[in-house]
Amino acid sequence: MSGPSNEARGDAEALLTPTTTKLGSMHRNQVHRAPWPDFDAFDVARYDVELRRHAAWHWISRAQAEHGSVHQFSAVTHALTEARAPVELLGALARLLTDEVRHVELCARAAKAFYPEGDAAFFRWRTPRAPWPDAPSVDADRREESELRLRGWAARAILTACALGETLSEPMLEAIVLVATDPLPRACAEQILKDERFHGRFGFEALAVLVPTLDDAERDALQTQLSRALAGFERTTCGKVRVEDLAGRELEITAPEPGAPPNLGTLTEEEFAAIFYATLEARIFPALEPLGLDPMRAWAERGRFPAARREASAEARATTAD
Amino acid sequence: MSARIERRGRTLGVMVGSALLVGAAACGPDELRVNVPAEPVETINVPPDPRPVEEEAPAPDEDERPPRVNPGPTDDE
Ligand SMILES: [Fe+2]
Ligand SMILES: [Fe+2]
Repeated sequence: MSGPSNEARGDAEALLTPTTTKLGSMHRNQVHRAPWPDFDAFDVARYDVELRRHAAWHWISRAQAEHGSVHQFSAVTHALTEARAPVELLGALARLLTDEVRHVELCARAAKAFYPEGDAAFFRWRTPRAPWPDAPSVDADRREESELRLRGWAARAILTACALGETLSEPMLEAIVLVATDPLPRACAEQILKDERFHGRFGFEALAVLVPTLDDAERDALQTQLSRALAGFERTTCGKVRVEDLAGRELEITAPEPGAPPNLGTLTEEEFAAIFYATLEARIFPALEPLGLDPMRAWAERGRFPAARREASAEARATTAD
Repeated sequence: MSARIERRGRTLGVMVGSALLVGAAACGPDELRVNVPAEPVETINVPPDPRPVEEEAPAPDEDERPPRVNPGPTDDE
């Protein structure tokens, strides 16, 4: 690829830059889904610039989270391949990968359409980093043992990213579809929602295959990871809202009446938090119990996992986490 | 009071139960608890990233810039 550097162009734009005619058509055949939203049809003049910027920030942040999913699922695919896992696991994972590439593109294009005034700094792209240590490497002399460790690692990643992360994003996207008053954010959220439903289900199915192959140590590590992941999700999803603020209350997230203030597919912190807590209790915990996990114990113990101190090394965090 | 999340026509009813009123949230350093705006935006909240991003994230290079709300797996160098 030639042309200006990523730095000069703004990273989001660099990610969306066309390459060759043939690569473009391979990409579209594999990744785009009909009807692909018409980003050019978005009418910038209809909305206040503050509203558009706020929405663009939500959508570009989501784009980066989706990019993180491509990064995470490709690592899980790699680990399960080394572990010689059943091909059906790999095939389903391969679908997740192309879906996440679609989500990156949908979200980034939506963000750019909403806020064409955004400069390179606004659309600057982070390098994805996995929220867990790298997968263990294979020791050729102890292959069975290595594969067991790889399956344990993959189970922890799938528990975190799919069983929790994907299952949480489904109602969040459902709410975004409801509150959006413009066809573009609604179309983008609807496409992503279809995929995330599948991804959450994949998580529980994959765990049903992997967990019975683990030993006691790996099962304990999975239970510990559940607690750590719940702590992390709560921090990053709920902001300042706590379960104490919401318990016993019902929040109704409703499609706006005609004439209501415009919404380009954004939720409030309280809405995100309510969906988080309700989904954990109503959908996720009951599905984790048959896997032999104890989600209520993990939840009660989540206070043991404060945010990693920024000066700590990844190794120190990994070894002191439990 | 048990949790429920259900679609009723054009409404998503989100009922937060009381079973989760056990234990305490794991707070990080204060700056991680608030929605810190990322530059160049001054006033808007950033959306949550439904992934637990802080823990175990490799810390390639320490980032001296103000923290983001999702200060995990990023390098932001
Ligand atoms: Fe996604
Ligand atoms: Fe997904």
